[in-house]
Amino acid sequence: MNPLLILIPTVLLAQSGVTTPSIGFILDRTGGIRPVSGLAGNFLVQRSVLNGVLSFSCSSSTCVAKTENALAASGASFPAPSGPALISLDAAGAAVYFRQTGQFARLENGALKMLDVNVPGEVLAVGAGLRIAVRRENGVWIVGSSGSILDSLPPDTQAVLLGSDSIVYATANELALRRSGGIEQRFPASGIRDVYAVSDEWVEGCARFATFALRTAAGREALYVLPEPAGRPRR
Amino acid sequence: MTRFAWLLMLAPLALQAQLALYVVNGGTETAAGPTYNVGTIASGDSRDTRFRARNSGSAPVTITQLAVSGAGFSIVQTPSTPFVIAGGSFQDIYVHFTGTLAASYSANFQVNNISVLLTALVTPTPVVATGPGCGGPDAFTGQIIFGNIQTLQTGACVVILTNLNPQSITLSNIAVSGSGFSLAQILHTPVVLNTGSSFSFTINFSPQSAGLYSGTLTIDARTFPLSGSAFTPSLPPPILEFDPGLPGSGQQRSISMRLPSPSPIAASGALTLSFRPDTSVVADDPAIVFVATGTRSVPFSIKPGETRFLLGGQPEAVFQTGTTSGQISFTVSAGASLTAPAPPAVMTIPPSVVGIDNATATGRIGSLDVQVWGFDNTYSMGAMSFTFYDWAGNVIGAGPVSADFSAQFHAYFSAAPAGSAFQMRVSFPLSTGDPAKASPACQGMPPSLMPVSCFVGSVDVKLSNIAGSATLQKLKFN
Repeated sequence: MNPLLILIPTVLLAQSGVTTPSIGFILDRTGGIRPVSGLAGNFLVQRSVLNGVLSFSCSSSTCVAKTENALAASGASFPAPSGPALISLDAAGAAVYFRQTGQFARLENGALKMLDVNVPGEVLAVGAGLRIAVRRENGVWIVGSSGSILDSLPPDTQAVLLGSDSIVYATANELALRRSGGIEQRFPASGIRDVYAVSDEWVEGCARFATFALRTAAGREALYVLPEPAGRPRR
Repeated sequence: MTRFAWLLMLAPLALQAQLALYVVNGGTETAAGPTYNVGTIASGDSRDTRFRARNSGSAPVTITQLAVSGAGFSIVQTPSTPFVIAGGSFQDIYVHFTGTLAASYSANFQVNNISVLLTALVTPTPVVATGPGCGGPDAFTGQIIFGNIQTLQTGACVVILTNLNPQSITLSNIAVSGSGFSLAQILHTPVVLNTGSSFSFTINFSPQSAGLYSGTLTIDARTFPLSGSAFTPSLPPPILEFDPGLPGSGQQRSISMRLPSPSPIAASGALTLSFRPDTSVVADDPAIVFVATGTRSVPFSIKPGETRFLLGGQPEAVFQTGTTSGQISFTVSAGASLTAPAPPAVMTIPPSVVGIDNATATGRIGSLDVQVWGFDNTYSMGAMSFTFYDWAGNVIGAGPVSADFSAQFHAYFSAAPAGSAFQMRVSFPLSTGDPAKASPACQGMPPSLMPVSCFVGSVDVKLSNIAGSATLQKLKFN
């Protein structure tokens, strides 16, 4: 017995029935946030939609960007300590670390709240649940807000992105994706100095001579090179 | 009467006095006095002096006496006597002098009744010869020839001076002038050459651009013309190579560029790509670019002696193949120094079935959503069918549900900025099923809250275009 009556399928054009696929947003070398559309290996980098950005993080539904003196999110702007910030989005909001002042903060429910957390070492990333990647003399560690060591990364780690169920980190010659089960995939990529979340499934790796896009979706992991925005020479 | 007779007697004298002798130097006439110094001449060299016999009167003057008497002097290129110089006219007379022995020379130069004492000094000079890198000096012109060399290269010419004279020679000036020519080293003068000894130095010829070059080597009173020419070398046609693998849409591929033999020069230019789509729906695919520049051109360079070009500073250039079937052609810019145009390298992107990058199936209350991310490089998709399975894996209903969204896709492709890449969502409005037929995981849920995924387990999605059909099998609902 058929339990359902299936009606005629309809493409909902008015509700984005057929649209240009979106990859997410990237931060270009001049501090511009640019939408990226297309598919894996077939990227189109669009014009900048926000300039003067020092660092950022995007999920598939929202972005948080740090400008010189503010944190911009969902059309709102929050006064913030100057300089770049490490940002990690999660389901409820964003964990933020202001590098110049060494302050941790939480952006949630339309408010930016400074946290009383002090972790020794050079903070490389913050993540959900206030996990913190920190470089110390004896290595690179992932610690909790209380300082308890949760994991470690290679000593030559240059940049880290702590996702909810994965860690992306860059060494001198590789970009690595570590799953929560500890399984790692490594991709050759030299000179990555910063990593940013582009969307839920993509991570941007910024190197001096190239901008990489790492697809982190399970089963589709691959590293690509993003086209440089046209007309802008490499520095 | 007596006075008139005197005038008649003086008339011939007045006519004769109308002949005067000058020395012509360049365009200037200088009256030749009773003596004229031809100058200091290197032994073995010669010098011609141009005199001008000018008749400033109205009557013609016949030259009956023309001679030069003295060792080393001779009259050349001049008419034999007698000859007539018309009134108001002139005749040039060339006196040639050459001296082989170092000494003072003199001669009497006679033109009718005009007499000039010519003097010359011959100084000892070394024999000039050349070694590797050049030819000459020419026996008549003294020219030293460097030949035809490549621009930005240096041709070195060794010049050897040997003193074969019985006395020593002191050279106070050795100099090189002229664009492209220079002495390879600083020469400290005076240079003393004893009898039988030699002295050598090097002249460099370093042309900066293609063309003919001339200069002068000066050794005291002697000069030697320097000549050479330069050419811009060219590259053989570069070989363009793709990385291995079958071409297709949605790829990031790489191209490299090499020469069959080491490059003779440093060269640079641009490698450009162009795209010709198979379809008429779109005129181009903007995603087909070099990633290093984000454009359809990437600079190349090569150093002398190397066979591999650098493309955008890298051994190879990555480019995107886009999402449109057609031909991607790569050409080397005409600005490069090529012997012949490099044949374009062509990567043909064949028409293919719909490429599926990702897909999801979502069950909601009252509807099912199927989302597909992909591309259709033929721009002809629209026909599709869906086969639904219940949670137990049984086909629901009579079989596939067909639909044709060709018009929607054509409209989308015509305006889309990203080639044929698309994200589509197809919704299926549904009626609620029998709660008793829900999957075991949904048993006990209030019927009004049961999502359709309690009843529908998966779906086959078949997307068709002119190249065929692509099928997603058993896409599970969540």
